[in-house]
Amino acid sequence: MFADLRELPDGHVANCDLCIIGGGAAGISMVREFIGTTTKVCLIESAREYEDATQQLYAGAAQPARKRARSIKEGVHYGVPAIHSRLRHFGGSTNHWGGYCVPLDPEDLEKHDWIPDSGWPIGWRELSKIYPRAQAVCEIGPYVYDDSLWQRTKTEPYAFDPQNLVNRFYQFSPPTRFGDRYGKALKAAPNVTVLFNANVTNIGLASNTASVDHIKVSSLGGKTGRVAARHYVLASGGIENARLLLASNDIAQRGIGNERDLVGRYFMDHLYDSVGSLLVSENPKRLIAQYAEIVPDQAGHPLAEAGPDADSVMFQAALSPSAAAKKRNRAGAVALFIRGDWSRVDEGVRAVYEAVEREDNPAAENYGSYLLDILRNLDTAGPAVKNLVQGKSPPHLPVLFAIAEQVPNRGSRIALADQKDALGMPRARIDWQLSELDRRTFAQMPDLLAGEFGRQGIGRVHKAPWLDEDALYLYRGDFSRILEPGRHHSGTTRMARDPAQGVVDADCQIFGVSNLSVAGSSVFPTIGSANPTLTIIALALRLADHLKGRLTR
Amino acid sequence: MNKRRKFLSYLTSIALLPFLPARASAALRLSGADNTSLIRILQNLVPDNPATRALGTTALRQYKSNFVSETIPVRLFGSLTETPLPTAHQLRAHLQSLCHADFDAGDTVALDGWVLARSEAEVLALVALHRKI
Ligand SMILES: Cc1cc2nc3c(=O)[nH]c(=O)nc-3n(C[C@H](O)[C@H](O)[C@H](O)COP(=O)(O)OP(=O)(O)OC[C@H]3O[C@@H](n4cnc5c(N)ncnc54)[C@H](O)[C@@H]3O)c2cc1C
Repeated sequence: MFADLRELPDGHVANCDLCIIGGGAAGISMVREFIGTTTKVCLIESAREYEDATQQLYAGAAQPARKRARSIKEGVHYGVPAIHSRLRHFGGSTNHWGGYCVPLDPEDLEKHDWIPDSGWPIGWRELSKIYPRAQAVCEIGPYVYDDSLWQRTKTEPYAFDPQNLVNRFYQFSPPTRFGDRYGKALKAAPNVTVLFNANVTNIGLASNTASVDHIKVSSLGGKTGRVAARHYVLASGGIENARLLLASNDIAQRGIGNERDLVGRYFMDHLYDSVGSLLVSENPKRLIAQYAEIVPDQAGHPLAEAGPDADSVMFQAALSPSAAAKKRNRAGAVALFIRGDWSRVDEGVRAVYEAVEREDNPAAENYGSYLLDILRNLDTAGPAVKNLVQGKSPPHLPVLFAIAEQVPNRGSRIALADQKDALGMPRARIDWQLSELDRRTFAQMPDLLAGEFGRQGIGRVHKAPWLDEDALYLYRGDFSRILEPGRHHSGTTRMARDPAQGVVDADCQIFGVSNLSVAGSSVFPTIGSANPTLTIIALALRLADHLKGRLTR
Repeated sequence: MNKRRKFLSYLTSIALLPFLPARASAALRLSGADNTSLIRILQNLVPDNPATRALGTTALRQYKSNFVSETIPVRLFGSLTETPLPTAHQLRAHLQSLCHADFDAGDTVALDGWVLARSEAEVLALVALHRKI
């Protein structure tokens, strides 16, 4: 059923078995698992629909003014304001997510001696057992992310050296808007109450601090209430999970689970930027066919069996450094997308492409596969070549767009500011800090690509000027200023075997608090290059399985 | 690692120079006052346009000019002989195989942001040196 705090008597106390704070991807995925069980679930959610006043609760503490220009000389302060990087209403940030789904790689969960604080307390095998269920929640295809996806695309995959580059496949959710898609089922479930217009303002610990006694909720209009449950799950997003734990400091003075000053630390996000552009020397159709979106609508394709409700499922291939290359480069994970408006190539380049494509063209084989050949034929594209040589990519050059891992960094953190929101809660302050290792993660890509693309005769890579060694000294101290964060807030309640290293244990329960767990990317100890939501859901389903066992005992 | 490999391969190419067949009488004339063969090769290989000139000038800055005029032509084209004359197609295939070997060995050079095979960069440097082609 749906309920509205504004319509309940002030001071109302609701009782349930399981209280989940936050109705986004994680919270809704968990609640669905309890539909039809005897467990009484209460899902607490700020708002049913988007409202400006509620969204304002997500505003962070003021940040220094930003410059939008991307000039190396001026420098650019990047970072999306907290309020613009998430949504505070039913469905959470899935109301504007892009639907990119990809599992973590096995090595993303491993400990690497060159990545400080790396290593998950659970293995990839365990995660990979749950991914297929998460796929269904995201309304994507079967759990297939390997080279079999090339089947029936009628193109021969490039034989990249597996010691250097590997293909990485993405599937696309419609994208599922979790509130719209699953709201009806939640409303109809007799054992589920979704309480709207209820903002959790405090997690009330029992006086011995070993368990949660209740949570406090408030509406923006001033109604207050409490929810008491046997178990609580915090699923309010990667910034808010930390903010709520830190702000609940009435009983535990440093905040809940924060005896070791770890809550809010290790804040990570994916780093987005172009690492360069590509001058294609071979027939670009093959590249487009393989690294642009493909709809596998033919029978027999691994993704064509997506289920009766699904439209055809799309996938896209990207390129990543192999495990061996990352080790060699002592760098993190990165996924590389080839993007560009292929339909608008300018005349000169089109002439080259057409000449290469025309099979009856006796000169076609002589076009060869290197830059000099291309330049020979670009005479007609004077201004474009000039730009190209000066390092400004003209629009026809496919852009090499990277999504890179940020590695764990204790100094990167969410903290509480002095400023308060409309409900009197301290606002979050984002102190995002990157390291030299993060720069290396990006910088490994152009060289790896140039080598493999050159070897395969695909074309030549132009390195983005910002990765140039000479330019980078400008940013060394403040690398984050030039990058766009992915809005995948992670790491702030990291999972670990040992309370000295993390906030939650391998079952996502807060160390030292017997009935409080966390769901969402805040529990990720490292983030790989994978967009987080598929893994968030997999972990939420795993947590639901775990709690089912506990709550029915 | 990359730098070391590059250095070693330079050393090897220089050390092998006295033994290269290119020194034989039928070899192309690649350096010195009479460099007509080299100019002909470059004409066949590289267009004279603003792009190649700009890249060539940058390349030239990365090398000492006597290295460009003497060592590079021999390294790149020393294995070719004058008879029969290599066709444009053969020249391209030859350069292509050098580039493949460079990329395989990770032997690349960055010119104005372009990550090129060392052989490509060297050809561009030669072009800049022999502007009048
Ligand atoms: C523009 C954009 C594009 C994205 N694209 C992708 C993509 O393509 N692929 C991908 O994998 N990920 C993507 N993401 C990330 C994805 O949206 C998140 O990973 C995902 O939504 C996180 O799920 P969550 O349940 O942890 O948090 P959320 O979905 O943010 O849900 C948190 C919920 O908690 C509620 N809440 C918060 N605080 C309180 C409180 N105090 N009291 C009560 N309720 C509260 C909120 O209203 C919200 O409903 C994108 C994000 C953005 C911003």
